[in-house]
Amino acid sequence: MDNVEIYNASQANTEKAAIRIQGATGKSHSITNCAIHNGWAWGVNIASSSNVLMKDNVVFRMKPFSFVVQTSRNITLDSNIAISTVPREKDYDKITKIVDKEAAFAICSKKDNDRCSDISVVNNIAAGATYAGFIVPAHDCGDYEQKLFRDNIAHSVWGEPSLGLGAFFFPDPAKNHITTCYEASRFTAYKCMEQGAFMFMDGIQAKLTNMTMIDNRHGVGIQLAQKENEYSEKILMEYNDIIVYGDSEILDCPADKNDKCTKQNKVGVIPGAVAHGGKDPHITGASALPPYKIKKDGSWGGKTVWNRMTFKDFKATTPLGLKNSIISTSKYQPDYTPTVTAKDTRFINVHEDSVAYIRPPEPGWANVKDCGDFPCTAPYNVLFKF
Amino acid sequence: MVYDNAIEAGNKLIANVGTVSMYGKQRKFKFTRLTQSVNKGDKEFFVAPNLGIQTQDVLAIAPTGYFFEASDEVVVESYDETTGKVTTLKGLDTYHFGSPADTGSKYNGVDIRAEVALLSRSIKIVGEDIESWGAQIVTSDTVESDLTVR
Repeated sequence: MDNVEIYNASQANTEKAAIRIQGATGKSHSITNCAIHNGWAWGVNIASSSNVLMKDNVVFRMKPFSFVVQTSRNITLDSNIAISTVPREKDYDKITKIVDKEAAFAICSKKDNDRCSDISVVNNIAAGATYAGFIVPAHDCGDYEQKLFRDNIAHSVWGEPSLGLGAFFFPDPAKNHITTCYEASRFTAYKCMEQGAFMFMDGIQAKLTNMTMIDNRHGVGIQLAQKENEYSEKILMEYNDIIVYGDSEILDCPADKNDKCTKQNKVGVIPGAVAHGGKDPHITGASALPPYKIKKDGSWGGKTVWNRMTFKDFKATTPLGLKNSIISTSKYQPDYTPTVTAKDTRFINVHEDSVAYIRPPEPGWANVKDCGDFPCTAPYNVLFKF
Repeated sequence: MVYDNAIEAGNKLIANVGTVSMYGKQRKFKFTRLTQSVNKGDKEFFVAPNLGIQTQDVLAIAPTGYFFEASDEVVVESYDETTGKVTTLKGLDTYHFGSPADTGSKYNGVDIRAEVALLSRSIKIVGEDIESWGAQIVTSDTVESDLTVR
């Protein structure tokens, strides 16, 4: 199919997408330059299939996924744009506190431990999405020729309650990532309500490399879940060649006041953390949000390394007069903050008041279940070595 | 309609168990960028010239701020091929960031201007607006009794 328009399609509250390729392995299929818009459910669902090319398509206002790939092989998503992937009518139940699974691009993520192979997600844009722009497997560490995921962009990502990741990268269950190392690279995110790029699953070593993060409310972050080997010297969260920008030219609160505004403090990078449990790529319990919130006990190990990080254009305050911090401790990290070793860090056009904000311990941590009769003091024990 | 025990096709669908080919008219662009910022209520905006945008074409303007739903969908009343000016009957619902030049030089190669995508095509597959149950285009293999895969 080429240059076809599809609208009012798909069936609400099912996986019956406007375009569904399911159990199709015998032939090659190509969908290019099409516009899929204003449907009732998913835009594209590729399940148990192989040899599919989706290129140069526009998907607009589909619910709550624009593109889903499940248990498939040899699938290419190239240069597609998903605009305003929106929630279902009832995506978040305030009574049950159950959060819907949502994302512009959900790549082998919707089912637990889904195994795909030969997937290529390149040059796509998630322009407005609830929950996340991309939920996608990470690649092998050091493999910079990979085409699993590269040169994609996510922006304008938000959602209730406390959602908004540019990309959530998870260890590929088809590989031995959780016992070795996994990495994500060549990605851009801007105007995301939480982290532009984020990881928080089982593992020993996780890396984010060669990324541009612009004006994301909570910057960028790697966290690991590790209990068995929590004291291992190998536990590593590594950031390489990432440029983090402060406020962009895009207004937080336009004069017409029609946009939903964010009037909150902003952070360039959240500290690494290791805990006894992480998060699923699709977090479905409201109490586990925001994604970087640590719900299990902290692990007493791990280290964070920044290689060639650049922080640029950070003013003392946000345009709305709120706190702007390149480095900040986490509101959700009461136990331990691993040491950060930074090499070749550059600060360009940065106001001195924006460099660091060390939060005080949360008074609410002072309870028998959490910290005892005094707040946990991890926020008082942080070390960034430059 | 059911393909086999594993795949339920459902109904209201175009079912493809072989090869279906549809080729609509080629258009000059998939998406372009706003070359000036726009605000709520604006009935005109600027994109690149010479895109062949036609009266009654439908365009989607992507959000640029944090809020994912702050997009616009407009029907084109006119387009000036020389200036890139688009006029619409209905005013925009919200602000979108635009700029005359690609912002890549400021943001490490990243253009943060609003994407303006073309939704209209010459071949249209339109679902019914009944009980949130529209159309589907389903592609799957079927296996015949002689095990031939179709």
